[in-house]
Amino acid sequence: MNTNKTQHKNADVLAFLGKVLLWMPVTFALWYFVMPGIAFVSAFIADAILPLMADHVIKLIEPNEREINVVTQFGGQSFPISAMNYAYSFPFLLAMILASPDTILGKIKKYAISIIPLFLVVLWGVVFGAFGVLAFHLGQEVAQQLNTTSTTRLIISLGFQLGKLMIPPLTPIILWLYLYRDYARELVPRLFQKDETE
Amino acid sequence: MRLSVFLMVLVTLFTLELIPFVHEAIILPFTSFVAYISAGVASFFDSTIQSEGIIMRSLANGTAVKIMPGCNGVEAMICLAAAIIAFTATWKQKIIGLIAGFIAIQLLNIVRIISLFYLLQWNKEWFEWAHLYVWQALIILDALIIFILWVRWLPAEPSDDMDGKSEQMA
Repeated sequence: MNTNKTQHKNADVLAFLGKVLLWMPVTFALWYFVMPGIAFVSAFIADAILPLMADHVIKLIEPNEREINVVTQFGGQSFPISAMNYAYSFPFLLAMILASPDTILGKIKKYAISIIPLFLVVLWGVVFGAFGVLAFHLGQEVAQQLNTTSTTRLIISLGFQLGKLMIPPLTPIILWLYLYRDYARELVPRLFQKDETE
Repeated sequence: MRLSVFLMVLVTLFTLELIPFVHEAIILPFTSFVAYISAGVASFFDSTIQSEGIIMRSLANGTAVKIMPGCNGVEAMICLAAAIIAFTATWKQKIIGLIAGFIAIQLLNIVRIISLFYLLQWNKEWFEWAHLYVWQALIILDALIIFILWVRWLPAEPSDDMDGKSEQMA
């Protein structure tokens, strides 16, 4: 197994890792500056969705720099949700794309395609984050207004944890494996073995 | 890789992790162990560091970090375990991958905890930045690289005793 070819390919994998690590400071710095825009778009979409799901509890969703404010129906009581906690998929995927062999146009196209799924990641986090605060942190009165059952509370809890701990880091990996499957196939031919035989 | 198996194992293990009994009986003791090891490693160059449960503390200046879910490497390990289990290989190869992956993820996680501990003493804003965003990405990237290297380590030809007959892309 430890042939020269294998070692050469392992070096390719580590070279890719090195390039991602070099690009990450650049993409994360860029992300910091565009984050108000991401928060604005996320708040705009969340404002269309969340009140529909619980209009008797949620009055308004509004962007506030890098955060999203959820305004409740309870005397204008509001709470912030840090959109950045769910949005680091944006710079992470960008670093992986920039580290992959492709033309500039190809990289731009692939990142543009990824924008919608990346916003869905933020949206998932914001929606479950908001319901998590409403169901567990604003007291009995608010929680009762949500009309939750033990099952829905479990779903909110699981959705919140998935949206915070799993989906934001995992989504860029899955998107990259899909968008750069030819390059990934070069690095790991066996990963796509069935595709090649089909 | 069988995507359906990957997702099923991923969600199952993650849900298990959230069950209060599992959290109390396995995750918290494991997290305390991670804090203990991290403090032990850091004490090689800073004798004022101690661990207490899931907390790592400096006796010199009182700085302390509490290792919470998401910072104990368990989620990255769940992702890697789901990928390894979903991939067609013998159970022996999978167990080797899981053990090697566990060691590699936890080694990097110790670096994460120690680096965050000192970053907190230097600048809280940079600590938050590294803690909430950068290290989250780095740990999952570590899991991806380990998975790629593990797949590359597998023999080129599938052997007869593999537990699955088909392979699909991720």
